Amino acid sequence: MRRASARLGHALLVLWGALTLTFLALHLGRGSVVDAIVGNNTQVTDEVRDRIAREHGLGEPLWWQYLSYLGRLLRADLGTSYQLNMPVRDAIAAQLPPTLQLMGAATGIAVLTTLAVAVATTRRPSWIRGPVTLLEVAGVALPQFWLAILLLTVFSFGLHWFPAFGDGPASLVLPAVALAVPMAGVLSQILRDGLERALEQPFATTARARGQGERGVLLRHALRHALPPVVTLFGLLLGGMIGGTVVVERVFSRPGVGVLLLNAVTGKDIPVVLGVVALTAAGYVTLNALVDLLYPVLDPRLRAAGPAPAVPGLRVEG
Amino acid sequence: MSAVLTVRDLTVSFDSGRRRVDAVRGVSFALEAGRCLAIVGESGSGKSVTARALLGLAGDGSTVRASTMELDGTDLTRLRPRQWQRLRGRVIGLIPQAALVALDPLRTVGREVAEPLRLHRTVPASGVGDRVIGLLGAAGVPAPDVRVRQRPGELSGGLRQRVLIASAIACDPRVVIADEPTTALDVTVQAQILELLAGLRRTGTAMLLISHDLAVVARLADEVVVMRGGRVVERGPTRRVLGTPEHEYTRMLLDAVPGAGRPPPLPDAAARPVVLRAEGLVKTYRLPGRDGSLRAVDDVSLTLRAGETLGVVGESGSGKSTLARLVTAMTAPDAGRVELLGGRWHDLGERERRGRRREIQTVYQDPLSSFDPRHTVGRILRHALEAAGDRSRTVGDLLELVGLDPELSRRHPSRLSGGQQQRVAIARAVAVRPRVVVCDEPVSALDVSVAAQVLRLLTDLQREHGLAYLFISHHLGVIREMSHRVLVMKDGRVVESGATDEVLDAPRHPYTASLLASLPALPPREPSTGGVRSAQPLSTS
Repeated sequence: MRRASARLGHALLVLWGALTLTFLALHLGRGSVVDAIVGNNTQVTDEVRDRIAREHGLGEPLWWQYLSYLGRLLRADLGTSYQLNMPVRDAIAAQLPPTLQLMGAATGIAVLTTLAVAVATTRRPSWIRGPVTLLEVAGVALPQFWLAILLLTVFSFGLHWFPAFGDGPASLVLPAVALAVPMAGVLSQILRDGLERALEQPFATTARARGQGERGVLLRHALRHALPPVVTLFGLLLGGMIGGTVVVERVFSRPGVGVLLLNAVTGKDIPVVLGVVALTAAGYVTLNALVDLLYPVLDPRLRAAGPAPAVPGLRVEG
Repeated sequence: MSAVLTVRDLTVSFDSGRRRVDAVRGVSFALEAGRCLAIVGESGSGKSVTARALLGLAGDGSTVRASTMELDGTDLTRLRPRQWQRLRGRVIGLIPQAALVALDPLRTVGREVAEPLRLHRTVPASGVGDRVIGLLGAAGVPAPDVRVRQRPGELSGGLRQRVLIASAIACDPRVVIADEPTTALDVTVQAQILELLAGLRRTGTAMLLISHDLAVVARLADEVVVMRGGRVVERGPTRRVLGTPEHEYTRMLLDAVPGAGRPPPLPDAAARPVVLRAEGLVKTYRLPGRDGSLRAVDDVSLTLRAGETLGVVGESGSGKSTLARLVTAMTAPDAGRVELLGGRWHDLGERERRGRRREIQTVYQDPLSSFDPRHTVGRILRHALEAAGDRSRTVGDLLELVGLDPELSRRHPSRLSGGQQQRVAIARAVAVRPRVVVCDEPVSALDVSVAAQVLRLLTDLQREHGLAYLFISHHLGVIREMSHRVLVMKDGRVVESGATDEVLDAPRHPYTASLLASLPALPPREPSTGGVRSAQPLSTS
């Protein structure tokens, strides 16, 4: 119970920090907010400008704007977009499904690729491992936009395997792969390292001596030992994936939260930027809390608070 | 009776890139049902590699060759991986040493024992649960229906060893390989496990025992093969080999078994100054999870005089190591006091204590983890000399003092053998000219011959420098050989103390008596005949 509340406090702290930093960055940045609301190509009188500033509370001191923003946030009011003339909540809600689809598909691809690649290359001769490791490193190191364009050029324009744009599930494949590659590249290396370490342990020898085959030792014994660091990193990389959606959605011209954020940042649409940041920070914190719940499932030794052994005082030596 | 396991001219070599190492060279033996053959040797003798080769698990980069390797009618020299899998666990089982990771720490005991049953389908799937409980019961695990749901971390070392035995015999294999099955167990637990293994042999299982402990071998084996550097140097019936050893290496192994020697006498012991005094020490630890607490050290008092060795003997959990931490002021006592050289010690501030730390030094069981892995031997010892402000001695002097080649100062400790590492640790301890050295299981991780040399070094240093040792060990033989007086500890309390020979020859406390009774003994040695060496392999018929 104490751990859960500490966890919640930590989550709120992360959320608050992300919002505060974004708020300050936007308001202290260059350019007038009123100009942004008015639009670049429209000429208006000073009275109109004053009215706009008053309506959005832009004349108030910064700390007051900050506090009133937090106050509205507590009432689940994300404000109104300057540019779209609609509540931020509605704007995000409209763009969320395609982004969630994309991230879901990418996560699935990343996890399956990680498992398949790591299991297939663990304790293999270097002529198998070498090229695979090279691909993994390349997947992590290549700029994501470049990878996205490469995928688009080869598999869509060149081979015509997948549509470049559109709504169908087939159009999800390339952007999801582009998003999954960096994650899978990191995770499969970590997983393979963990598997190889676990396979060196005495319990692996004991299992082999019972007649367990190499694949069985790997799947039934070693995998569980190798997973915790992979899970930790997975939670952290999810944050990076949220950033990756901005690039990938842009390259594949997909609708989504990433593009919404991009337009809002360039247009100084502060309420939308803050709304998206609040959402992603909340999502990130929630996902990592879920990841934490996975540890005791993987490693029962972490269930320390569990019930005591059924027979009290039974500790017979030998 | 025909042999179930026959090995002729077994050779195992390892290819590590450029170098080829022959770990086993031309080993032959035969094993019959219900008999026990022991392979004895120190580290690097090839005894464990031999055992692994019989399971087809010699490891990566290994080449196993033999003119005959036959298990229960199956030719082992030409098996494919799948055929090996069908034999392992069903026809030949392995009982490894009960390290915490010899059982998968993430799986329940039940699943571990059930694994061979499910793989080889020797019982129908519906009967596996009952069979597992039956096996655990047969291996002497109390309340097996509760234990099946627990994980290895929740079991004591002795129980883990019983679980490993249950899993090895799950499919009634014809041959069981027991690889150091009692190493790292307390003596009373060791005695129980040996009894269990002896019972297993009586039911007709053939047993190949791999051990460095000659007393364990004497208890279990019918025949002994002594290995050194991958070759068999002597073989024969256990009583003959251990009673009238023919090869000098066998004789050396027997001579090195601690317990025969005695510490040099200590004249006018009572007149010597007290260097370390502890009174009424208590240390309580909170147990994790539950509300209970553990009195790790409970009202312990001791005095140690200059030039004297006080042995502290007890099983794991008896509080020996906590006592060491208390007298070295690494941990503060809950009650009681410690005086060093007649002055305050346990209640000094850390700043004042630091200046006096060099007066009491510690030598640990695992020296390697007490060295900075990036430092060379020379740097480690130079630090110690600088700490003592000693300009009269060099690193080379220190290395010579502990019997090491001064050339070693450029090496890293990880490149040294276990015995060399322990000598470096001893050199570091004596570099600051301490008055008291706490030796916490200093030879427990060493081969017997190396351990004997390290003990001799400690004795020599004591004589030359008047060092006082607080000597902690679970090994009664080592304690007898080193200590003038002894404390026997159990559950944090001192149950008996006195002059070593009196306590060990005529124990008054039943716990001391049970410790002594549990100790497997070597058969009496007959005067050496120096006769012909037997180099002939055993007849396999």
